[in-house]
Amino acid sequence: MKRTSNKAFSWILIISFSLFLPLTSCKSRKKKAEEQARIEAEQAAINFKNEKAQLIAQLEKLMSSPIKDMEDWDNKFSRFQKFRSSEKFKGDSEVEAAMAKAEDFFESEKKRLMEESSQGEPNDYEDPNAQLKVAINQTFGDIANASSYEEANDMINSLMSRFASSDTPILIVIDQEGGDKAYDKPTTARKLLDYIKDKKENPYIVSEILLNRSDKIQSMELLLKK
Amino acid sequence: MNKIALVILPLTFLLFSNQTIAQDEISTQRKEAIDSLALEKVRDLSRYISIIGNKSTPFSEGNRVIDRAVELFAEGSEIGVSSLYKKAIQYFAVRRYFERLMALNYDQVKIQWYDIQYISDLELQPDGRYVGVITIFQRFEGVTKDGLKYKDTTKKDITIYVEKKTIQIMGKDVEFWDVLLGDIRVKETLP
Amino acid sequence: MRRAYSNHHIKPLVFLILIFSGSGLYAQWMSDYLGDEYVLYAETKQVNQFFRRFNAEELPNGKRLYPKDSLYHKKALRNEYLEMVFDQQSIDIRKDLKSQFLGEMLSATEQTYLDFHGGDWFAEVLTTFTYKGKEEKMLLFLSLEKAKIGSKWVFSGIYFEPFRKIFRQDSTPPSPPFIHPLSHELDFMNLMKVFRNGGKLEAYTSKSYEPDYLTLFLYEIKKKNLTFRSVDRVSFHFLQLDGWYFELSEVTREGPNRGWLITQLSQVPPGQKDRLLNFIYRR
Repeated sequence: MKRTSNKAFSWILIISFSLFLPLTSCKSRKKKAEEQARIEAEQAAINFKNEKAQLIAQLEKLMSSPIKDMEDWDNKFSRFQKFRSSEKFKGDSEVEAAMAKAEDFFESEKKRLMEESSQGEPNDYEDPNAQLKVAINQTFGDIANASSYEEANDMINSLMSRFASSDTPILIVIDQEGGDKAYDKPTTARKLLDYIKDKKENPYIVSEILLNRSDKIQSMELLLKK
Repeated sequence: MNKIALVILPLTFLLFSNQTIAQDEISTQRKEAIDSLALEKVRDLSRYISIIGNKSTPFSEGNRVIDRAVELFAEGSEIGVSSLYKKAIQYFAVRRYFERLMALNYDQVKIQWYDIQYISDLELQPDGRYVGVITIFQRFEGVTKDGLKYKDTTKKDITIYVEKKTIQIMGKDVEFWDVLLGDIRVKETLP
Repeated sequence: MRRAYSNHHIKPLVFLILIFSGSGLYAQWMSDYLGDEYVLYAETKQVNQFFRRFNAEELPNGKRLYPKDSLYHKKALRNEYLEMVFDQQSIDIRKDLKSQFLGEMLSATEQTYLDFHGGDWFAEVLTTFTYKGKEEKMLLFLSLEKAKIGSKWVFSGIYFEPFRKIFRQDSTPPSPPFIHPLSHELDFMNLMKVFRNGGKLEAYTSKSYEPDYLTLFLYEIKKKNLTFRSVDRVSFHFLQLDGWYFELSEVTREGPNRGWLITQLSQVPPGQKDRLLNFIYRR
């Protein structure tokens, strides 16, 4: 082949490199992307496995010891609800089994607490409304955890029948220093229950109930949960 | 601490006692309880905004919640909104702001609140009420029917008014801390 | 009973502040860990927060400190905060001046703090008004004033170019007009000439006369010639610290160094405070 000049040859080299390079980098980019996708998929699988193990461990922890009281039950059940509402592990048999186990645990613990409170602990003799308070606290929790507006409204309407009226005054203690109580703005029974429904959590514990002659609640005092 | 400081410190509190809620007026614990109450009202507002802005909220519930949200505010309160690009403030009466929120033309709406609430000191104003400002941040994402996405992060500076009031309940005088929200400045901010 | 914060807590807190001050690696790590929230914690979100950080009266997460807390006004904490509350990208702040300023604020003998009710700081608000049908910019100056109960912001001055134009002092004319000293003998009949000729009526006022633009402003609003449109920008001028002036402005940008920050700093030599005030008020 006739030899071209040095200058022209350099240009040929440069041009061929510049033509060649995009092709090579195109091929290698594709390979790199595939490799990247494979690594990401592997990582995602590892993450899924770890998160699943973590979730099951957290569920086990919730059930690791008996529940102290209704307030404790409310708090733990709310956390369980949050786990349950996640779509991530839906259909996974291990997670479903753990959830079912937790469900049973909360059911049986609720029963046990209700029985214990109705068995007449010494305090009941001093507080005739103890059972009613427990029931109301529980209903507050149920309203907060309702899965729909309809369900919540049904529970609200049912509980409202225990009050003298929808305007029954409710006092909320925000702070107490010795005998000195500080209150939030007083509300009414109906507004309170709607508030718990809207907030989707129950921040209160019933501390005092005043019944009228017809055994209806004519006023109520609540404390804030710590 | 030297003797001079022992004298000066209480005097300093006295100097401030008619301006800020100072420690010799109410205890730190009580002050923190009032701050918590104010923060709770702001959380309530956030919760109501999420309910009102959610397309799946039934109309009757949405309207009820607007009423509850408006009740959180002192009369005459306004919401002033500006964006990063349009700095001029648009003013809305509180109810109008919520009605607008409910009528937003998004198919899906996601409202998230950052877990940061900053509360200022409470200052005494000439009408005897205490005033403060709580700052929160919200992330909004909306998707229209046609798939158009809108995202923003807003900083909300919320005025709060705190006043000790008395009300009669079943013949008894009950003192309570009335916390009302006031003007809100909504500013689009960088995430 | 509140838990007091012991010296024990300083190191992790200082670490936390280093992060918020945006210093390199830590900032990156915390940003990855906390995401957007890290920046929002670091941001000086309110002027109130600026005061508290300047004085070390709160923790990095915004929780208030009280005199009985050991970290309250703590020098080590202040040292980190004082770095944080400066606009680190401002070209109007000389490094040496800033060091001198920080040195004085954190002096070994006596630290210097800002006081919300201590006076000598005020707001400059850039606004838009409509004046006789035309959109115009106006600077409103407001100061915090003690009332019978509590305190409130009050208008302390304005700068409005259309008003200034009317009262602008041209160079003193070679022979300014005057009302001669025996005008009273003719029942001041020459007042007719004064007002017929027009011109700079200020020449006929006392040598101490200064136009009161604030009164003009209120008058024009009452006469409905002037209508408020919007607030465009707010900044603050601080002359409370002896020998120092700084400007506080709202900085909007990515990253943790944002919010209400010191954007200008200068020394105020003795006797120059009034001169600086005149300059700020555009007198």
